[in-house]
Amino acid sequence: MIKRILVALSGTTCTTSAIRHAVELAKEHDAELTGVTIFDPDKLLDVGPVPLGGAAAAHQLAEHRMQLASEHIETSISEFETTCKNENIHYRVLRETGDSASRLLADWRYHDLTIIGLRGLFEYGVLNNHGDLVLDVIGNGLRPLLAVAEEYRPIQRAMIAYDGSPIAARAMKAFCMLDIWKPMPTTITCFSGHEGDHVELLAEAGSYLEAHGFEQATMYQDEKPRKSILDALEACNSDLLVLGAAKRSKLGRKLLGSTARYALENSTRPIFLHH
Amino acid sequence: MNHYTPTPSRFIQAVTFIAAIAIAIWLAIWLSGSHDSHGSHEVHMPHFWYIGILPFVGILGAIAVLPLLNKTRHWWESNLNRFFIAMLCSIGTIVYMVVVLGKDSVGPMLDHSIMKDFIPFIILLFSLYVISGGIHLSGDLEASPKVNTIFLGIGALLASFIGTTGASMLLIRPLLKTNSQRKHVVHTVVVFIFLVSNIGGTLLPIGDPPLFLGYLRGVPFMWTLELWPMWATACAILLVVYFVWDSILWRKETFKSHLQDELQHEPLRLRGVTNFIFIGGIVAAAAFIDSNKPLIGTDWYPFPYLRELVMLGFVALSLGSTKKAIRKANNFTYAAILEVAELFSGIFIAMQVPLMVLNASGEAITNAMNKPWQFFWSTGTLSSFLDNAPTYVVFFKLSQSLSQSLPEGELLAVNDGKVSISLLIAISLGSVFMGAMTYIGNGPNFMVKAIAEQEQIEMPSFFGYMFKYSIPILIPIFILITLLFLM
Repeated sequence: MIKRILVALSGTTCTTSAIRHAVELAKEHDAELTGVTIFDPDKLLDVGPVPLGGAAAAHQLAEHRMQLASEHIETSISEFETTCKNENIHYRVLRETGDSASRLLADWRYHDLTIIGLRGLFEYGVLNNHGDLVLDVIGNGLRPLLAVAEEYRPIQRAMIAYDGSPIAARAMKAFCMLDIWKPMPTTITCFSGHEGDHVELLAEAGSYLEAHGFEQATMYQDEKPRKSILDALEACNSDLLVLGAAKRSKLGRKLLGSTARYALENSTRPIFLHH
Repeated sequence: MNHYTPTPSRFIQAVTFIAAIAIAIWLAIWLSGSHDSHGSHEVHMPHFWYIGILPFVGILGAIAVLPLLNKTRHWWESNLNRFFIAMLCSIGTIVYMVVVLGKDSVGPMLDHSIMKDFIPFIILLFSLYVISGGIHLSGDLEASPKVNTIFLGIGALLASFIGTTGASMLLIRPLLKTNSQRKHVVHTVVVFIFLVSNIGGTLLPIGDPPLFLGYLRGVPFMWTLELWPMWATACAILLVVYFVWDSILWRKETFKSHLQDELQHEPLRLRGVTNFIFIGGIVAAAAFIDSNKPLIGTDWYPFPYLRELVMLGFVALSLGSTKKAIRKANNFTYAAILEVAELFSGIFIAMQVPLMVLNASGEAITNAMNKPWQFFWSTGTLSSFLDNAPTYVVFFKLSQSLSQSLPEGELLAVNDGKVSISLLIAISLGSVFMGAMTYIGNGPNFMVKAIAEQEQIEMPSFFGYMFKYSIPILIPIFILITLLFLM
């Protein structure tokens, strides 16, 4: 049951799409939405090393960023509130200040699903190379998570990237059991590295999906997943990529798998992550 | 939300005020007495010198580190807080000198650092800063590789005459506006930093602060023109590289971008032109008025600080004759020059002990380091990360240690002795050229970066700038300069 959905109001090109996905799911589950903005002064106002004579320029740049962030935050909140009111969705807004990753993780504890944009998180138009927060929060275990791209795309077909690992299995099971979306046509895809056992893996996974009422198909890609995962997503005309993203070790959780990282950085379609 | 400037605590205000007043009184008392204004010329290593250099290390360290740390970054934005650090390091130096060298050593030190270095230095910078802030260039030309290259070439030439800061502030906005329809702009800003904010300022002492410090130490005003072959080599290579690079990226722009660029034109408009005359006056004052030499064509020795008074006169003319709208269009404030003034007041005092140490141990150091290329790379490496003005002075002093062993023809007479010409070339080039290596190598680098970011250009990070741009492009050029001119 999905009853509370957290939406990151990041002020990026993906925010409109994130709000729309959240509203659709809220209507479907009669859930309430929480829109969260996080102003992270340590990241947004960090102008880097400043030379002698540059303090005034640094101050001016910080003020410019502050104004830019403020405008983006207000625009995002206004868009979120207007959409929720128009769609008659119960909502609230959290205006947070502090470390964006830890604030988002703190808010995530009391929500069933988090929706973020794929292109940046809480940067609010500030271009200061402060690392990829999307990868950072995902690496820190923010699950279940729906990361959406710029273009809104109704989710009617899905593709599960499956290699038989416990992480991939957890993602697949969460996709079926959490009941976020109604059963939909789903393609289970295996990539090279499982030449010997892919037939069995796909058959077992397919029967699991069928047991949950999904119309399933299977596909084997004789290429490394990093290279072909997004092509496969397009080939099977899926609107959603289901992915197990984290590694077991602490370091691995931080760094993410290279496939997940590649998909998150380049996908133009939504990605559902669980582990 | 508001990004406010912090208010210093009363303790800081009180300590800073008392320290500044105490230094001023000590200096005034010493100046009003009768004595040898040059002080003692004894060359010996001061006792506990490693303690004496701590204020210098401290102030340079504070400039480098405090703006970076989350806990101190905001604190550092206050003028008074920065001045507090400068005064703290100055008092540290004075206490050291009183204890180790005796209280009589403080007066000559303050006379030298404040009256002979700081005041002429800051008045020149202030004059150029205020007058060039009264010139505004606007317009939007076609952003073709040819136009951009000409823009950069003019900037590289102008930087020597109005200073790297003045040229950067004058040209960066119209250059960005010209390129506003293009997607690929970062390389243009980076090469602008290389050429206009740094290398361009090589030809005259008013081009870059370290060269003016050399002039204050007795290097003839026109001597820096001898650096033209190195300046021309570096500029020519960079302009050719840029033209090819920009031509490739220009072809990658979209049809829409090219169309917008063709349609959106605004002719160049230069406002505040009379300020060029005042800048000419500053150049003339710096070149011809020196209280140590008779005025050209006369036997008359200008009285001390006449040069500075003339410069301030041109500043007054500029302020009186320039419309406020022009300075507003340049976002002109006094904040940057105030910051330079407050920190340099401390740097000039704190660097006196390191200079004594170099004076005493210079010979030992120059036994191992005595080649021009060594001075070029050493001065340059330090200038990449620290301010290039004190770096220049330190190596200038060091190079004087070698003067005794060289033939007369290879030496240049300066205020307190002689300096090796080949080493002076290396030090001048190192301090000016290699300021381009990082965003913190020279003040205008960061100013240009900040303006570009405010125009929504995604500038590289600190290390991105170094590893993607300055190291691959500039280091080969500097190696070539070394091979051609410094071996």
